[in-house]
Amino acid sequence: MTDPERFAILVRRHAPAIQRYITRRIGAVAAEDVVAETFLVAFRQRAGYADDGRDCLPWLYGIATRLVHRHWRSEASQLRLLARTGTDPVTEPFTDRVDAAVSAGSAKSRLAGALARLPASQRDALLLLVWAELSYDQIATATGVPMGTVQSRISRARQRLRRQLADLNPATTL
Amino acid sequence: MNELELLASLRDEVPAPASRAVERRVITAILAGDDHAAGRPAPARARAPHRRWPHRRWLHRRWLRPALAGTLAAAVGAGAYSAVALSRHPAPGPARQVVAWSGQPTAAWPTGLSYGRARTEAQLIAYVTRAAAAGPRRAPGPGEWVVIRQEFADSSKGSGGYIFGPPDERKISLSWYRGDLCATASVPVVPASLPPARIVSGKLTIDDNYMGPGCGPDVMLAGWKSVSYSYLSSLPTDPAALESVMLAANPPGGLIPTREDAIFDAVDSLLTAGESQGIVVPPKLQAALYRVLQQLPGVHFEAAADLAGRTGLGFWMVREGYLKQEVVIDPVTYAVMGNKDVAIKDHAMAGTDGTRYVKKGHVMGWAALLGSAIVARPGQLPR
Repeated sequence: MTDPERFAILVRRHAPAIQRYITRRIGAVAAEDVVAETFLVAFRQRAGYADDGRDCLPWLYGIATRLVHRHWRSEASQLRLLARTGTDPVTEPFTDRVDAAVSAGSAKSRLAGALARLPASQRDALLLLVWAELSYDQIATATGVPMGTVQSRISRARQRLRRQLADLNPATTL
Repeated sequence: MNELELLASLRDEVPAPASRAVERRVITAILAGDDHAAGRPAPARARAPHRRWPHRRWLHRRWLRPALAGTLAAAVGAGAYSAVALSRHPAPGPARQVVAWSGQPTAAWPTGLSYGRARTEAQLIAYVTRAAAAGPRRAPGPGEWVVIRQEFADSSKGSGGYIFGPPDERKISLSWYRGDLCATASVPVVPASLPPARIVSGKLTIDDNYMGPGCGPDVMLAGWKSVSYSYLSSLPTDPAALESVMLAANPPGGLIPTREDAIFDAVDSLLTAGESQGIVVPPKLQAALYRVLQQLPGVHFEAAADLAGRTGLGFWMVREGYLKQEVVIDPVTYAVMGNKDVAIKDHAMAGTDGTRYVKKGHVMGWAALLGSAIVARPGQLPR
């Protein structure tokens, strides 16, 4: 099996998860190109990847997250739109129109507004934890920072979100 | 439902991709040896978030989620895929290079000129103002690098946002930042007890896709909309005008309750987190920032020591009612030489995942900026 063939296996295994993560962040249309770029960048950088048997998913999420930064304006504006109007351009293609809109001021829209205001580094760490389901040390690998920094970013981000949602009923659901 | 559960539900309706078109596009490209042309042009910026000064910012607000981390780690592990054997053959244009390095991490570096040892707040302001009037500092050129040496404290009882136990472990780090703040390099940390004459051999990791706090449009230092040398040089040196600039970029609110907190955060972020990440602060701005600290309500001044045991002059402020956050200034070079964060009373930090208690006197963060210099290439040390 050639090197590109081996890499193709990796693409098949991980592309669905990476694509869903990127789609949740910036929407389906922009996600396609970012997913493709993620794997092409990974392929080009494979020599620099330490092949020591570790799970390579954090490495891929790290590349994807860095590429998502190029869409930070769009990511933030979509979150702000959800916060302001209750309409989420990211989920609209996947949802019945009747169900798509939530009331502005609901937990979902307020959460979106808080997410939009987070610094990029905190948003990355939080979304890698919750949406990509990486552990703290995997997030450290993905983002190239020490684990203590990951913990502080997540802690800081959570505290901000808590403040935004502080007056909601504890049993609130989206 | 806590905020993480709420977040997990957000956009959860996004399904796994129905089509495998993207996969096919990528696989076709790499099998055809056409990986550069296939997707889009090579990414303009694939950046890694910057490193902050170890254990510095937001130390007192940090939380662990061991239960959640464990759960998620297990979940990932169950579906984890051990990496396929990837080639070690050089690929075109890797963003991260690892090369052999050797050097003396703890050997002495040259020091700058001094106008005298400051012992009081007034002397410090007078000397730093005099030094600033002597001319601008040299900023790194586009191809040059700033090397930073730091000592930081860790604990045998662990750390995670702050130091959990006594600060009984001391480590020294060497980092290089390219002049545009978009590339970084580092070597593994060494114990602070390493003798200065000892030569260490190891690996230098160079990352060309680094997202430093000043790389690109999204500057991540509170209070600063840009950290380029030209921008920082253009700022007013009158304390009131400078405060307005900082407040405009870092307005009070949320976790920053007062304008004094916001201003202290901005000064602290540039002088500690910023300078430790290769940002060069113009001497006139540095002098102006000290004047801001001198007259800012709630900021105190005292003789202080940094982690390396050097005597300095400290500006400190109590944050959130329990944490003494101190910036330590070198009395001879007038540069920032460290920071120390100490709980001044017992405090309970409440979170949805539990409550952590710190006792009065607990050192929550402690670091020393041992030196910085402009060099021609990553891995090089000043002589």
